[in-house]
Amino acid sequence: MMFVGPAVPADTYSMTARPDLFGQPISVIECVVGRDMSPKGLVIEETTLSRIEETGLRETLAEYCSMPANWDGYGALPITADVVSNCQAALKPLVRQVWGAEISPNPNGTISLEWVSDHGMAHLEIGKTRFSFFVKPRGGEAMVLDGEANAVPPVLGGFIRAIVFPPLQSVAALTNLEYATGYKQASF
Amino acid sequence: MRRVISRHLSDAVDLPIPIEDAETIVRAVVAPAHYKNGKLATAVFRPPAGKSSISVMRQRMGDNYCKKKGGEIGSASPGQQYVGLLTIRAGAIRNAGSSVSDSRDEWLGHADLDHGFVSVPNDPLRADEFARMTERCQALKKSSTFYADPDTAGVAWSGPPLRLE
Repeated sequence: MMFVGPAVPADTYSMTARPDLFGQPISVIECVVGRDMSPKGLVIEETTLSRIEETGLRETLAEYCSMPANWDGYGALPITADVVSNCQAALKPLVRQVWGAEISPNPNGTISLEWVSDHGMAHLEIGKTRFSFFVKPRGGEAMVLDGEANAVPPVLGGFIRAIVFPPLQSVAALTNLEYATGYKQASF
Repeated sequence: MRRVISRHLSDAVDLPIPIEDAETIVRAVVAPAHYKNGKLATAVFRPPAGKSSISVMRQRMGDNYCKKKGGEIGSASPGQQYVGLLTIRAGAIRNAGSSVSDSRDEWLGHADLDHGFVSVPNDPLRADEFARMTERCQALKKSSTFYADPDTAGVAWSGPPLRLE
């Protein structure tokens, strides 16, 4: 769904993202507008959003840690504390650079983080001793990387952001995503 | 009643081993592991450790049969709940690079959706294999249709027909 103007239904909120060019410092990236707010809306700093996402992901990781064997009914292995710990270590530098990760447990006892947009997709799977990663721009070749699970490169987030969520090209590229809660998030 | 039972048995016996491309393949979905916030996780197509295939069902056994099996899978998964059935054509599985074949030694109507990469316990595949398998899982997710079960506690399937026309 394209977002073409500033019109906001009276009973909803809209969030417009304003990421600056990749690699440059970003101070303000989201502006929340609602009927009970001033026309300028509520400005949320990037670091606050990162913290919100990081907290949510950490809570999800804690849930995975408590899942017993066969949690999917198809014979899945439990997610061990080692795997969760490796994920937690990778999380902070990642969410500071890129948002919108979908996190899910895998039946072989690993954890996946995935980012998907119209521009491409990136997947990171973290296990007990190793991680595997690939990013693929739309219509392009996949780039892959693997290594030790406790040494996920901190720059990976920036890499994902550059390919899956490239910087703003024009206002026409503004798109809307509707949250289940009724919120709308726009991203460039 | 007797006629119904005999017809079911007859259908079961008539189930051919080869799976044609047009046949509908079904997978039971549990939440929140496979389905969260209205989204299917790619992990729904990921094989368990030590295997390269996932368990699926042949819709030819009937919608109610698939629902019954889905409920059994859900009740066998602690902390998870059966929420519905995912359907995909056998041809779409093959187009994605994976295979599907009858495996009635498990139970009649069971089939294996095989990616060809044996899943490693507690660790991901090597990055190039990981990329290939993930792309396959993404393609399968894109080609599949998920039906949330309107009556998860009921005995019969009350959602839309599962068979893909």
